[in-house]
Formats: sequence, structure tokens, C-alpha cells
Amino acid sequence: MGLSERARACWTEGETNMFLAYCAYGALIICLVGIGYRMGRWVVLPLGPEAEDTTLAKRALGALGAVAKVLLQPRGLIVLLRTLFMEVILQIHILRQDPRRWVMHMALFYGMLLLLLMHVFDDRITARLFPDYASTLNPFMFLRDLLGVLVMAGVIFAFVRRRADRTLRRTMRGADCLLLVLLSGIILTGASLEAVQIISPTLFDEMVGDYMDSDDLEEIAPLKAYWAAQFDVAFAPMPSTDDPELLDEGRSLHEVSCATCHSRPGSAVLSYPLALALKPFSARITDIGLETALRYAHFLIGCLALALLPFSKLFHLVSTPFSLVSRALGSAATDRPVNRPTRRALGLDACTHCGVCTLHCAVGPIFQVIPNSDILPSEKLHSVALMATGRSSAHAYARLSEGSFICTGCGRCTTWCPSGLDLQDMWAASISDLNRSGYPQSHGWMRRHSASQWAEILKTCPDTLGEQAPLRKTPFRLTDNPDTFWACVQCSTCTNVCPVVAISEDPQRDLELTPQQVMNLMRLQRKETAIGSRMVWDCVTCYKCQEHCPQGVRVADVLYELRNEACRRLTPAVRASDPSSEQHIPATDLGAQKNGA
Amino acid sequence: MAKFRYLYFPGCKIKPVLPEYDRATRAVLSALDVGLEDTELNCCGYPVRHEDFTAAMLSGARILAMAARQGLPVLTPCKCCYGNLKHAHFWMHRNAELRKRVNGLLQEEGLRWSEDVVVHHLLTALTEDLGLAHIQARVKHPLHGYRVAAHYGCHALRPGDVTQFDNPLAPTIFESVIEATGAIAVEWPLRLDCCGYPLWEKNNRLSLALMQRKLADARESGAQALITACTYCQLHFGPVRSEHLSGTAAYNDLPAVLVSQLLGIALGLPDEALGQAGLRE
Amino acid sequence: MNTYNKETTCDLMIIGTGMAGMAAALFAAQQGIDTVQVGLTGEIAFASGLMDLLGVYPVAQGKVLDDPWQGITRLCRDEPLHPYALLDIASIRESLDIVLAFLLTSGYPHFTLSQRNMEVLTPAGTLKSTYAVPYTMRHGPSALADRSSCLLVDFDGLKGYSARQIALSLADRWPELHPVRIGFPDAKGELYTEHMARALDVADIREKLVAAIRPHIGTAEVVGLPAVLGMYRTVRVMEDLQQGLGVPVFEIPTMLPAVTGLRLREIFEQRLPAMGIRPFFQQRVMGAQRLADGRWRFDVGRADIDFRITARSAIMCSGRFFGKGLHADRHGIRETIFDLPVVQPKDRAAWHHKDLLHREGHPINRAGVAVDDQFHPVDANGQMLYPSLFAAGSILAHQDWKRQKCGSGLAIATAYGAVRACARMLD
Repeated sequence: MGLSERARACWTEGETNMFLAYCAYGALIICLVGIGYRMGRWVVLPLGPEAEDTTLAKRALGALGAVAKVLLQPRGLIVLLRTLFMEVILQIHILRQDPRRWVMHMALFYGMLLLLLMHVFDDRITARLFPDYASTLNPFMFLRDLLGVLVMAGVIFAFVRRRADRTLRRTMRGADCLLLVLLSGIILTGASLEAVQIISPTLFDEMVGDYMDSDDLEEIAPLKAYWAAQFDVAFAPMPSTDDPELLDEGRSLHEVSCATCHSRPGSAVLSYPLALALKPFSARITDIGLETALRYAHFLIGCLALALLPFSKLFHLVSTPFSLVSRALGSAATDRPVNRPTRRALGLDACTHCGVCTLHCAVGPIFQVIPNSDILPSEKLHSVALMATGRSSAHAYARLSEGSFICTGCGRCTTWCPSGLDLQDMWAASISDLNRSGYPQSHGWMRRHSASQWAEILKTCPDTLGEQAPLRKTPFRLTDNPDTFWACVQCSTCTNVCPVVAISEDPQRDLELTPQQVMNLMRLQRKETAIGSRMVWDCVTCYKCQEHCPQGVRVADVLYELRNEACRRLTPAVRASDPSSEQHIPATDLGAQKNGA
Repeated sequence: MAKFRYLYFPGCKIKPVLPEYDRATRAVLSALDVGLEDTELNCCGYPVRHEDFTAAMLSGARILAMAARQGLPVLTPCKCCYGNLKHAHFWMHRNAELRKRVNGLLQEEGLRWSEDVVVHHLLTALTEDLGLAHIQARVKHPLHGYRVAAHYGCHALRPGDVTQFDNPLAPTIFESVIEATGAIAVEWPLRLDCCGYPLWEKNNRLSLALMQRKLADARESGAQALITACTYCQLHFGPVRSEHLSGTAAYNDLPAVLVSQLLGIALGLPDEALGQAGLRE
Repeated sequence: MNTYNKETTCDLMIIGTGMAGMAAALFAAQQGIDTVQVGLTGEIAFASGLMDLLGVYPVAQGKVLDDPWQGITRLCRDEPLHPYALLDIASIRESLDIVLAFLLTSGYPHFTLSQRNMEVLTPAGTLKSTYAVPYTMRHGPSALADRSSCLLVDFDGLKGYSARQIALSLADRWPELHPVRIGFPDAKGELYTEHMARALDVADIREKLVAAIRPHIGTAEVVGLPAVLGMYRTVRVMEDLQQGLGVPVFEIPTMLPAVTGLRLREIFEQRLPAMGIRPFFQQRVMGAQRLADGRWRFDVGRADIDFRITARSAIMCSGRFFGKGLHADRHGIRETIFDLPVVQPKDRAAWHHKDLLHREGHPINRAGVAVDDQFHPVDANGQMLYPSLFAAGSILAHQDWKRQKCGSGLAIATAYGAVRACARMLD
């Protein structure tokens, strides 16, 4: 007898039944509508320059065109099928990267999938495949519990993995917890329910009523004894299980009426230990109606998970296969421009926050010093998603900008991403958006104001970042140390060897200050006047000045230190509050802005 | 067993945008019996130095610590990487506060910076470890008559007290390697100037202007090609130039060739092994 | 250099990369001595390019010399402690000839009247008496002597150089000086000499410059320009300008940093290593230790000790205060590497006259390291301190090179003498 059948049989109140059915269908509708909404967003969300001049219709048509191309071409179909088989079903790409992670994911994925197919839909699928199926019968009972163990093992593995790595631990999010809580909730309520059912004397009575056709307590007693001995039912009072004859009789009764559907509960590897633990409290459990409560809980958590599917990490079940297939068929570089934002939006949804990109990120170590999580690809992606969905603040833009420009574009994140995201393209697109939204990297930012304007602004920006982020305090200072500059005789050798000065048509106009003038300002303790000068930010770091200085002044190191100080004092919060920060620069002017005009 | 073995550090840019440098360098080093150890390494820290000094030094020191763990010297084909690793070594050696900070962070991974780690650029490894005689002995197709301009760039060369690459005012290391292939290294006044790449995407106009100045000088000095030994420099004179300066001036046809490709041709290695081989003859 | 090959040995260690150090290295290289040279950039980057042998003697009378050789003879007789007195005239002449020949083969020939000094323009509009000039300045002295009609060009934005000032200052002596101010091709705002010189190495810029000057020539027979006519390609620059303008062109020294000094530096830096000198440029000697066998052990580096060099002999050409060979503070003047005794006024108060422009110069200018006729530094009793240590150049005592206008000659000749003595010692 299937679970749903049993549900209908045991839940006597019609309203409860209706309620749960409504919940199930409601959850399903929410799920489907949610999926539709999320998929629809793929052709709506703007990300990258190609999203500027396009419309929903164009993008939708573009997407459909791309899909059609795949389905109507033999090559496309082959790649599609191969990817589905290798990367969705077998997930070989994960196995190659990290066998342990593959085992974890397989446990979670196939554990849940098989539970869904074989347990939730046991009456439609399992019972049809195996006519003698019963949920309490082996191997079904054992397998079901085994799958539960598998899923829990996967959950624990996933949790431990995330907590064990320092960076993953720091970047754990609510969504990660939610998923693990939902999955654990489903499995644990299910196991608890089964455990309670195993020991439930009330259930025994009901089943006897249904399947034994007898009310005679005398007749039932041997069965009861047998079940007390072999099936761990916690009767109150406990019948005697000493009499071998009684047990024998009970066994015969069992074989007639129960054995076709019941295997001994010891095979319920997940629930049985729990059942044994709960046995002493059986009376209490019956009193408070725990079984019903657990039944509701198990069912409703399942509905919740279904309803939340499109709005939680579970959505990757839909989005990631799309993403993997789209990676197999090409990349943003080979897409038609109209489809690139769509691919990116899909990528945003396909991310599972697994953190593999972050673990292999070449600039990952920098996060230990600059505590801006947008340096890390998995977190940066989240911020990019907020930017794309218009839920970002000025401060968030500024933080994302700081994190984005630290990325060196090495591409490792893209190589490692198990969900098929073209992260390299994502970063290029988001950087383009940041530039256009008025959040360029520091070198561009500093072009907004003149040196003297910056000197004024800096008066209100103290160098206190070291208090929140102690590792950002300079380990030593050249600029505030008079010894650095006392030897400067203003011979202007540094200025004369500087290729940036050489290439400037009008150094005063283009650079505001020359290197020896910057050094002079240091000597005069007028650092702020120099920090914002173009010279400091157009320095090409060739070190000719420092090399040629006859007095050993570390000119280029000083210029670096000035840039560091500007970055420390002009925090994302400060940049966000700069009134000029919201200037939107149209794409046509991008060339001018990019070229530093 | 190779006599020389290094921890290979290609840096961030080679794989995504200049894979030929990696291919050519590996091919050449393999032909010269040099062993390379590959490990996943972080960014050297050069780009982030504008933002934060400690972050840059941690990045460099981490690579040195990884090398220390493996007991190998580091070899990098990129001059900016080389430079920043040397800066990390320099400042870690001299500043106790920095050392404490960085070692504290590295310790969490079980790493520790060691000042005994030797850092090599491709050119210093070739000249100091292998020796030019070793290379010359293996040259199959000497590039006689090929006049090239050795582009030193700046980050390996300066500041000389930190990088200890060669004489910072009058270096000869690059020319000596070129001459080992039989080619002629022309004298050109701007050979020690920066290519301009560090300003790319920060001030494109200046960046391109610096590049053009160098090209003009190389051409006027009679060079048939520019030889680079750095990822950034080659990126600038290669893809950036062809994308942004194509068809603008006469000297645009002066090709930029990687030193590994030059060596590879001289050593008789097949073109595919060298990536896109330089435009020779 | 990279593999921390920290230890090196050599026969001769030259300390200093100024005029004396570079000259010493040249002499040593030509004699095949195994030499290491260490030095920082000092004043050579500011050098005007004029090679003085002896321009003024006696200083107290401010007498400008026409015949420097005669002047030297008199100087040596009157001031037997002057470093020139340690050498015979033939040696001084030979040392200069060698250096000038070297510069000739380096593509930067110099011009000298050999027996006489020449008068050369300065950017302040004064005249200086000197022995040899770069050929780029060659036409200046003869134009001055002939009082030819001369177009003086200066550039808008070049500080410290005013054609008008030169013309006004020399109005009596040279009335046909016609100043004009033009813009430098492709540059605006403040100009820098090194950039201008390198810019002129490019043909395109030269053409533009010629085009900018030509309209102003008029009847001028010669054109005077600031000394920015090329960094490496001075020959081509001169050719193009003279051809394009149709008249001779000459350079006039500028304010520092001086391209003329940089040219010299570049030539020495490029050619000396090729001749066998092992250079440690942009490094300095931080410490010296005498070993039991008479050799010297030097600690060399920039900020910290990076190298150790063991040498059989050493020539100190470490310069004076800017070159960091000497150090002056309230306690006295000391020699910075070996802590050699320094000839100096007994009292700090006696360093300077109260009158800054005192005709005789100041006693501190004549302070320095005293040497014997083998160029060994000596103690207060005139006794040689170390047989393997020599000194040359402006660090020497009993000379006032700035006022006597004998800087280059002093540096080169004493370097010659020191190397000769050292070579003898090494054999």
C-alpha cells in the first residue's frame, strides 16, 4: 500500500486531506509559476553593454532562435544529449575535478531524486514497476532508508566542507543554510515519522483492524507478542515475549496477514535506531499525537521545498543543466550579441554558491587583507546579481567596483565552475556596467576632481581604515617619514627621466604635478595636495625615477604609497557618497572615458 | 633527471590571453633539459599593489612560501611577476612588521615565507643557471642577419637594488641571449623604457602613446622585430596594438616576438610547439 | 647578479662613477686590469659638458687663462700641494688625449684648441674659459671670437635658459646676438631637457624644429641653441639641423639636469662594461675592511649590503659632498668609506669666510684627502697609509676645482696617475 493511499486511509478527516492536497498543488503551482518567472528573467535582466540597446522581444526571440538552432541541427542535438548524459546525469566534470565533491553531490542529487521517484511517487512509479511493492517491505524499506542516509551523508559532507575551509566559512550565506535545512528537514522528519510509526501501538491496532478482520483480543495476542518481540512495537503494557509457543503462533498469524507487506524494521537503517531510542517515550509520543504532527511536518516541508524551489538554491536543478548545455554549445564570445546578456542572466541563476571558483581564485589570498568579499568570485557574482536586478545601493556598487578591479582575469574560476558559468565574460560585462554607471577603478575615479579638489575632499576622509581592517594599516611609512625626503635636492632628475612626463604634451596641464614637485610637497608635509594629482595616477611604475635619483629617494615607492593611502581613505562608503558618483556615462562616451581623455 | 628544476610560475595573464608564451617557454626549456614543476599558484600581487601594499606582499610571499615547501627555485616568464616577487623578498627581508603579518596569514595554511627561495626570470635562468654556452651548443638554425630590438621593459630591471636582474642602467642580459641565437641585437635609445601596459585600462591614451614611442624608436634604429620577455609587454605590443592601432602608422608592421619563440626557432623546434611563431623573414 | 652571487674578487676596485671614476675605469680597462667599478649617480648628471683643464689662475685675482698649460706650470710652482703637481705635463696631456679619443670612438667627439682655452657661452650670459667642448658646441667659441651674427633660440617653458638674458648680458662683447623664443615641437607647458633631447633623436621632431627656426634666421650666420640636441644621435641631429637651416649650429649648456652630463654618463655606462669592466652601478660602498694579506674587502649595496667584493687594490674616486665621498657635520669633515684623515681647517668656524663671494674661495673648498706622488692617501705626516689604496678626483685636498675651473682635467689626470701607480703596484 502506497504512502498516499495510506495517507488517505489514515487521515480520516476530509478537511485535513483537502488541506494537504491544496498545499501540494499550491506548492506545485507556485513552483511552476516561479520557474516560469525565473526563466523569463533570463531574457529580461540587463548585464553587459549588449543589454543597453535591446528589447525584451529581441532577447526572447534571440533566445528562442538559439534554442531552435540547437534542436534543429544534428551537431547541436548530439552535444545537447552528450552534455545531459555526461554532465547532468553522470556529472563526470565534477568527478574529474574532485572525487569527494562528486560523491557528496551524487549522494544528495541521486538520493533526493530516487526518493522523489520511488518514495513520493511510489504509488505511480514504484508500485507499477514492482507489483508486490509495500513501503514497509524489503528491499524497498531498506533502500528508502539508505537513500535517506545517503542524503544526510551528503548534507553533512556539504556542511563540513563549507565549515572546514576558512574562506567558505566566512562567506556562508542564508541560502546555503536554507537548502541544507530543507533537505535535512525532509529526511529527518521522514525518518522520525517512520521511527514513530515503527513503535506505534495505535498504528498496530489500526492495521490489525484493517487487515486482520478480528477484534478478538485473544486472537490478536500472539501477533501482538510477535510484533513486540520482532517488530519493536512499544505496547503499553508490554506483552510477555517469553513464551515460544505464543511467539510461534504469532509468527503464523503474521505470515498470513502481515508478511506480504512487512519486513522487520531493523532494515530501516535510518529510522530503526531512532525508533529504539524513542521506544521508552512511546506513551508520551502517543499522547501528544507526534505521529500526526510528524506526518504534517514531513509533508509540509516537502511542499515548502517545492514552493521554494524557484526562489532558493534548489533552482539550480533547472538552471544548471541549461547552463551546462549552453557552455557545451559555445560561449559568450561565440554568442550573437543579443544573447549574451541572456547567457549571463542564466549564469546568475545557475550558480550554486559552491565556492569552487573562490577556492581556486588567483586573488583569493588578498581577501585576507582587504576584507571585501566582492574580491571572491562566488560573492562577487551575488553582488553582480543584485546590480543586475536593480537591488544594489551606491555603497554596494562601490564595493563591487573595489572587488571587481582586483580580479586579474586569469580565467581559473571559469575553468573550475561546475555549473558551466562563463564567469570570465560575466566579469567583463559587470566591469563594463560599473564603468558606465560611474564606478570605475581608482585610477579612473581619481580623474573626477583636480588635485586641489581632492585635497579638500581628503580633509574629511581620515586614514582610519586600519581600525576596522588592521591588516590594511601600512607596515611602515615612507611618506610620513622625513628621512625619506631630507636628501631631495630638487634636481628634477626624476622628472627628466619620467616617460609619462616625456610623453605629455603639457605636463602641467596633463599631470598637474611632476615627480619632483610631488617629492617637494612631501617634504612640506602637504601630502593631500599630491595624492589627487594626475601624476600619481598616471605613473606607469617603471621605477626610472627611483633608479636615477642621485640621492636615493624612493620616488616610485612613495608614489605607490600615495595611491595606497588614497584607496584606504576613499573607502567604498566615501565613494558612494561622492555626489559625482552617480553620473551615468552613456556608452558612446565610453571610448573617451576609457582612454582617459 | 633534469639538472635544473624550477617551480613554474606563469602568472595570471598567460593562460587566458597569451598561451603561446607558455607553450613556447615550455618547449624551449624542455629542449634545454630543464624540469618544470606545476602547482596552482595565486596572483603575484603586482596589480593589487596600487590598492594595498600588504596584499601585494602577501601574494608574492605566498608564492615564495609554496616554493620553499617544495624546495625549488621559482621561474617565471613574466617580468612584472618577477619584479613583484623580488619586491616581496626585499621588503619581507627588511621589515619585521610586514614579516610578522604575512607569516601570520600564511601560517593558517601551513606555509611560511623563506628568504632562501631563489627567484628567476626566464632570462636569468638561461644565463645564470644554464649558461649561454649550453644554449648556443643546441642552436640548429642560427638567425644570422636578423636585426632585432631587445625590449627590456622595466619591472624586472628596476629598481636594481630590489630586482637584482642585471645592471639597471646598462644591462646586457637580454642582448646576450639574443646573440646566442645568432641574431643581432640593435642599439636603440629607448630600450629600457616602459612599454606602457601598466596604464592600460587606466589611461589608454597614455598607454598607447608610450607604446608608439617605443615602436618608432625601434624602427628608427633599424630593427626588423621587437623581442619581448614579458607577458605584459607582449600583450601590449601584440594584441592591444593590433586591436587599437591597426593601420595607423608605418611602424605598425614591426612584429613583436617572444624571446621563447625566437629561441625556439633557433633551436629548431616546430612551429606548433611555439604557438604562433613570429613573423620571420 | 640575480643568484645572489654575493662574493666577487678582482684586482682593482674603483669606487665612484663620476668623471674621475669613469676615467680611471677607462684607463684600467685599456691596460687589461681586472676591475670592478661601484658607484651611484652623482654630479655627472649635472655636468655642463665643458672639459676644464685650468681656466682661472690665480683665483684670488680672478685671472682668466688663455694658455692652460702655462697656467698649470705656474700653478704647480706656486701651489706644490695641488694635485696637478703630482704629475708631469706630458702625463696630463696624455690622459686627456686618451679620454677624448675614447669619446671620439664613442660617437661623441670633442673639440679642443689643444694649446689654448676657448671662451664659451653660459646660459646666464657669462663667458667661461674651457679646454674641450663636445663638438656640438664647437661653433660657439669661433662665432664669439668673430662676433658673427647669431640667432639665439630659446624655448617657451624651458626654465633657467633665456636667450634674451644671454643677449643682454653680452651686449657689449657680442652685439650681434639676436634672441628669439619659439615653442618646442609637440610640447607645451613646462619643458624638461632630457625629454627634449630624446625627442630630437626622432627625425620627425627634428624636421619640425627646423621648420620652426627657419623663419627667424634672417641674416644670421650661426644659430645657438640650448644643449638638448639629441641624447644618442647627436651626430644626426647636428647634421639635420645644419642642413635644414643652412648655417652652423652650436649648443649652449643648460641648467641641470644637463643632457651633456647624461650623454657622458651613458657613453661610459654602455662602453666600459663592454671593455671588460664589471660594473655595480647604482650601488655604493657601505663599508671597507683591510684583510691580513693587504687586500680590501668591500660591502656594497644600495640600502643594505648585497655584495662583498674582495680587491687587491682600490682607487677612491668617491667625490666630495654631493658624491658622498666626504661628509660634513658640526664635528668636522670625514671621509666616508675608509675614514681616512681629511685635510681641513682646524676649526669649523674657519670653514667659510663671512663673505660668500670671497675672491679666494673658502677654506672648506680645499679640504680633502691628501695624497703622495703615487696617489696614496697620506696621514698628517705625509706617510702613505696603505700601499694598495689610491685616490683621485675631486676628493683630493689642496684644490678648488670650481674656482680654478679645473674639474675635468683634475679628475682625468689624477685618475691616470692613480691607475698608473696602481698598475705598477699590482705587477
